[in-house]
Amino acid sequence: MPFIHCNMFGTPPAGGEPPWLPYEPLVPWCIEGHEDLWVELDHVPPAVHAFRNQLIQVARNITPDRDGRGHLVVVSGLPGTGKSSLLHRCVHEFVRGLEEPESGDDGRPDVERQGDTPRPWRLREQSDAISVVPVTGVRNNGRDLESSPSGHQEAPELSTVINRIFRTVVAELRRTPGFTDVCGPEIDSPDHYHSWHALTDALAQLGRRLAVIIPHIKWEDQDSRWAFLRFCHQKADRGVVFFVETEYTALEKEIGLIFDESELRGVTLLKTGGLAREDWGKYLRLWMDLPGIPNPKVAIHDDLLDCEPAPWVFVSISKLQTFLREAADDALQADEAYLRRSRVLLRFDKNQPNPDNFLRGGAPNPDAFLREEPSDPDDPAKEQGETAGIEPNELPDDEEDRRDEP
Amino acid sequence: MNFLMTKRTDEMSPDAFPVAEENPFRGSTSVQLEGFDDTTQVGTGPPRPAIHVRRRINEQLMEQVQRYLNQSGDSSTRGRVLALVGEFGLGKSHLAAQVTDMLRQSTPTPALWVIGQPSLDMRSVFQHRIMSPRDNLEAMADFEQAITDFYADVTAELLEQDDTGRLGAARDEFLRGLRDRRLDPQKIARAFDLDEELIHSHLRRHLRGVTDHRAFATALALLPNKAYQADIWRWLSGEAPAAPLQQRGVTQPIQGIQGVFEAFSVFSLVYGQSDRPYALVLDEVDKIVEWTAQDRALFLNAFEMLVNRYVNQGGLLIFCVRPDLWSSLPASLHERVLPLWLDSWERPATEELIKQHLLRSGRAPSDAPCAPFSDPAVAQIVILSDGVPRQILRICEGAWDQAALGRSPRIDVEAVHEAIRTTHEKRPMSEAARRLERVLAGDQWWHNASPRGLGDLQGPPGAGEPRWIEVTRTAWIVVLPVRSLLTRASVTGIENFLGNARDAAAAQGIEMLVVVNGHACGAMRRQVAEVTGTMPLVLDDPRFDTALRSGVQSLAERLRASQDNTVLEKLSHRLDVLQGQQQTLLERVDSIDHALDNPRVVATHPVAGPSHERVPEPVRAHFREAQEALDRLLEEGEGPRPSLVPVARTAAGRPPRPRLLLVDDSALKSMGAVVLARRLLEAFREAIVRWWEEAGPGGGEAEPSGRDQGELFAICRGFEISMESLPRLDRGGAAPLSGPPAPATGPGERAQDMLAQLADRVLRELGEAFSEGPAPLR
Repeated sequence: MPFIHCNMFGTPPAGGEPPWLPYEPLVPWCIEGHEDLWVELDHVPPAVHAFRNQLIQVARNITPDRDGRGHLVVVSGLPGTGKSSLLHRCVHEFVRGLEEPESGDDGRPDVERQGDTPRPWRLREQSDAISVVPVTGVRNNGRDLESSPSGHQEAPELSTVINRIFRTVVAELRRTPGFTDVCGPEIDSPDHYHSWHALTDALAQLGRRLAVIIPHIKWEDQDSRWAFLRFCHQKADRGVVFFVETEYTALEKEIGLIFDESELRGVTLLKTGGLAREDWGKYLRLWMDLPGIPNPKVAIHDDLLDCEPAPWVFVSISKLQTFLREAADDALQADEAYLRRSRVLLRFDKNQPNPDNFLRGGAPNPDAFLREEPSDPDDPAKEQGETAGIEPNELPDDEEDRRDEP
Repeated sequence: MNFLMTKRTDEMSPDAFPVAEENPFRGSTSVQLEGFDDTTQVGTGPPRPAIHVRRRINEQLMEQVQRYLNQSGDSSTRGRVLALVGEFGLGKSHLAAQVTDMLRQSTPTPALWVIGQPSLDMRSVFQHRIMSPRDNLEAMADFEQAITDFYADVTAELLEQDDTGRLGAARDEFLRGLRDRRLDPQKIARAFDLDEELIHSHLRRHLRGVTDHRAFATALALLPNKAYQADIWRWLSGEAPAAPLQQRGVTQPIQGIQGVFEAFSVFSLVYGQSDRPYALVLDEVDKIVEWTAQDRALFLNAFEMLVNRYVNQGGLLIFCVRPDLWSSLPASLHERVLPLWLDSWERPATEELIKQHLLRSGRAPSDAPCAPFSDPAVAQIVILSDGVPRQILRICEGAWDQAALGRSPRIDVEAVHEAIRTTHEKRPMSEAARRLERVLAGDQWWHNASPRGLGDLQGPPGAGEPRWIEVTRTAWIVVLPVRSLLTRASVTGIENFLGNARDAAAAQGIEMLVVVNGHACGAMRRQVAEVTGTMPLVLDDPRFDTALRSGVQSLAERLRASQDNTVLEKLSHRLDVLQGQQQTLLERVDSIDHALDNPRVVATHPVAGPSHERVPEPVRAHFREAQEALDRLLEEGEGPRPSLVPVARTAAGRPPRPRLLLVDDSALKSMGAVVLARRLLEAFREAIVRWWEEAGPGGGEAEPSGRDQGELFAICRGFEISMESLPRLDRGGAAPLSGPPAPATGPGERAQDMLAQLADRVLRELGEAFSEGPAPLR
């Protein structure tokens, strides 16, 4: 694998320097400019529309005071279909919705919005109105919650998972300026009820809301799944919004059984899915027009738009992006300035799903179809709970590591 | 102890003393089935090869097992359940162990669970003493493979409904590959971004249908997930479920009879669905007899379910059971189980067993097949062991030690007997007496003093003190403790004792119960039973107490009943006599009554003299003789001549008592017959006279006509048949058709003969007289 400075089919890290990460969620509430990389894929507009519709109705009531409400947003979809990106986008919209009326009040100059061309891929400043806590970091990968401190994967257990979420949230909030001054000693109580109460009290004093982002947890049990969603709903109160991700696609049928009608008013269920035929063109055009991509890059040739892609790349956005990224890598290796139709077609042939690659026993798995292995060793920053989050140093560190790769 | 020392001092020439050195029969005679496969050699000595005597039952069993292993494919027709049925010591466990070895050595090794004996605490058996998948990496892999098969089916089903085209052009090939178990469903699920949670929930539902058990379905569905595997294996091995499993509904460890059998049945499903061979060997099912009825029912229900599963799902289940329990098992089990009956060993097998033990210890067989055992000794072993191989080995071991002790070059009958005595007669006779006392006193049977005249009766040699039990004043049970019954002589001793006792107390009923303080083989027991009428009881029998109690009880009843019988018989006889007398009186009254109603017409009685003289000449003599015979009979009467001389004229001067003369029925009958015969004869004579005078030459000039002849015949025939209808005068007599008539002896017989022939003679002689023409002279 040659050293490639920048493959544009990736996610720009904070700072935007190459290499861009292969398929990663877009985190617009954290990184400036990620919101512009959105492709309005088949399922995105209805989902975002649903989110806005539902949340606007209740947004006024989502306040940290004693009578304030909370909300639960659940995104369900198969792996790689952009659940995390959608979720982060919803968080971003929610944060912006809160900031807009407030920005005038505190008189803070809104540089990002007023500047003509703010440099993209800069870490965003934290909002004063809300604290956002992604429990397992912005990549929102569930295995951090399920594994023990030694990295060994464990069977997720309700009490352990809840305990970890509590502790992560408390640890994150402690970094918020002024939080430690207002929070009572009960926040360290082993009883979640008292601890959570102390936490929301402190947030109320600060006038802050809280958004907690929770990854997909592989419960493999209906009772546990339901119990966990009920827990999230119960804690989404007094200005707390839970953003929960799940890969369980049958949740839509169950949600009416998990919550009753009145509870459902505080729940928004969004769905992600596969791509439509037009998404190919939409996606390519976005990247063709994308400004500020660092060199070296392979430009997209126009003939690619006419290409008839194989149906299996439309299964998910991750499949599509990974496919194009690899095709671009090929082109770069071949010293081509353009990614052309012919190369892509060649790659379609090459990557055609082949049953022989999935034989039982030790037969090798083709990289093209392998999701990121859970036991990926080069993932040092994610292992520690407290580093997950919006700490500005986080992502550049990660980036440093990657740059050092041979 | 003794023989151990002898063994050391005896290390001389093995030829001179072949019965020396180590006892080849030493060693445990009962096999214990082991739950785990262990072939590691223990100690330094050479491993002792197991000895299998090939008999028909072995071949049957091995053939069944082999056929099971060879049959591949459809698991629904492969399953079989075999029961080894036989009494103690016949080698059920030995056979089961042999099968276990065979299964463990066959390739591919089938999953095998061995339970030495069912226990109420099945959880600990399951947890600690049975092969669990964790013990065997291959079994674990097999198990995982089986679950992966289910996973593949569910994945294929979900992929079939998927219309996103994620599998590309090779979609059908993928589906086929999954269903053929070639492709790895988990790899596919990961690579094609499937909803693993959905697959899992479908898998759990599928397994719930397959296993019919929620907890197992939950646990097995989680098995493909690495994070749960360790917990699940621990749970499947009987440990308590870990917290993640508990949260998902697996709340209890596998426990209880029901739970453990369910686990086996789920294992059977998992293996059965994937067409892998698997076997369960269950020894000593008889343990359940000691359980409470509820536990037993629980066991049998669960066992029946398991048997069904094994039969239907291609498993092999072998269990050992004694005939008593086998016959009490439910009929549904009998239908599904193939019983293999173990029978007792006959002489060739016994010889083979002895020979193989000798061979194993390095003693080459010489000319005689079982040397140093003598031929009669082997014969004795065959009889005394009842053909039970465990007994055979014990007797051989003991006999070997005896012979070694006596430095005898060969093992003869005496050594065999002595060995049995040493083994079985450990308990002194006094202890036997104490045991009898304890058991009998419990039922309030006291130790009575012996009946009069039997106090100093000698028992057979070596016997204990006989114990007398008084059932009624004249009925006794004697319980006689004796030593081992080895020879005919001991039976004779018992017979003599009983004979003497019955002779001495002639009028009294005595039943005998022999209690053997030692060994008694079946043949000897039967001999004793023939002599005494009761089966002997053996003190070592675990059920001795109950057997003794019920034995004494039933003998007591037998004695009481027989005494009751004698009284009843007397009563019934007396009643018969009374009834007879009453009947006679009634008949008498009847006849008097009849006579009063129909008074005899005092007809002018034909004067005897003239009537006699008018009888035609040719037959006159016959009539006279018959008349005389009858008169004599009437005169003599029946029985002794009655006398009315008053009885017992006592010296005290009391008035003499009148004598009552009773007539019995038969006498009345025969006297009546005589009277009637006389009247009949009279009527015959009159009819003949009338005929003669009317038709005869004396009556007219007419020629004798056919009609007259016919009339004569009718008269004679009338007499003849009427005579036949009367009771015989000779009280029975010879049957009419039994050869030539013997010369008549008694008067009754003479008269009977005469009357029987009278009609014939009259017809013949008068007929001749008529046809001759000339008128007879008057």
